[in-house]
This record gives sequence, C-alpha cells and structure tokens, in this order.
Amino acid sequence: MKAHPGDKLIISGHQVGEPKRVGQVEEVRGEDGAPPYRVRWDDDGHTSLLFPGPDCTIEPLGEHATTTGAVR
Amino acid sequence: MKVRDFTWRKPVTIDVGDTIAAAAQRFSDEGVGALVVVDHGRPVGIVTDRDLVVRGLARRVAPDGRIDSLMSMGVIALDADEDVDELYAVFARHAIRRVPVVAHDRVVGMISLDDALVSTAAEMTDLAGVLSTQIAFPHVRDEPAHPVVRDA
Repeated sequence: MKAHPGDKLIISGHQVGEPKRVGQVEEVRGEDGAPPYRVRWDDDGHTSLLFPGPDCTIEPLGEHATTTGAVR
Repeated sequence: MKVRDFTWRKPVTIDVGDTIAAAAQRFSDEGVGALVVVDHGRPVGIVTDRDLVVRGLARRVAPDGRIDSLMSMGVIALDADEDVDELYAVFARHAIRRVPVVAHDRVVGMISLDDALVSTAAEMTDLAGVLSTQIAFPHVRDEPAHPVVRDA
C-alpha cells in the first residue's frame, strides 16, 4: 500500500450496519509512500499513527488522483 | 513524561499466513497476550489470546486456519517520542488495551493498559513519598526556593 499526504483513507465496516471509518493522510512515515501513516479521522478530528490492514483502501486526492487511482 | 520512558515489552510477531495453531504455540512460548501480525515484516493487524477463544474456538474455526482470519485489522501505534497523555488518549479513543510503540517507523515495543497502570501507580507512589516527607518535615517547605543574599 502506498499513500501521499492529502489522500483519503477508508476503513470498511466489518459487520452489517457498522460504519466505515474515513480519514485523511497527513503524513507518510514510511519510505516511498509506505506505512505508517499519520491519519486525521473525520469523525472525531483526532490523529493516529496507523499501520493499515487489509480492510483499508486509499483514495488518491489532489495531484496524484489523476494518475494512480484507488490503491488497495 | 514520554512514551519512551515507559517500560515496554518486546513485540512478538507472527506472519499473516501462519496458522491459528502456530499462534497458540507462540502465545504459550512467549508468555504474551497479543501478537502483532505482520505481512512482509510490516504490521497489518493484532491478535490477542482472547481472539483465539472468542473468534476461533467459540466459532469452531479449525486450528489450521490462517491467523489473519481472527486478527483485528490495522494497527494503531504510538511514536516513542509522544507525550504520555497521548498514550492514555489512544487507549480511550480506540477502545484498545495494547499499543505498539514505533521508533524510526519500526515497531520496537508494546505497551499494555496494565503496564501503563502499573507505571502510573509507581509514579503516584513516588509523589506520595515526596508529600509524606514534606508533611513529616514541614520546615523544609519554609526555606526559600532560592538563596537569599543578606547584607552583612
């Protein structure tokens, strides 16, 4: 998984009715877009350092959106 | 106080493709309550001994199944240079009991809620000791904080 600052990060719900969690990648700490990511969550405005799991997708935003598409 | 000032436990990992039985053996060998599940060396989830029971045994999942079928996906971590207040906030915000500690983008330790409680209790004991001393020797408090220069 690769991300850039400004990308949208989505964690899908694991059970029926469980909402997905959405945040924005503020900082990429790994090399070449690799995790961990500093993520600001939309629901509470706090930030977390996250190693994403397989339930996570990245939606490129900004200048990367036109070239890379969604990355899983 | 920083996160790095806490006593960490060594992080114990298991590969994402390993079996549930292998994870159970790892819990037994290492004496820990949680394993960091890694894929090509990078954390992708956490599995606890409770997960083995509740998500595995209770649902009759076969021991030769993959451990990633029982893990909590994604890992919320904490930088070793973060203030300890952030540690408490992470426990509260994410309703988790164990947080991997990261230094130079590598997981270098694991702090549990229990560990944090013990460290905090020890700190409170130290503070209580200071207070006890001040109560036992109240004149110490009457001395000026800085030397006073008096004219001869």
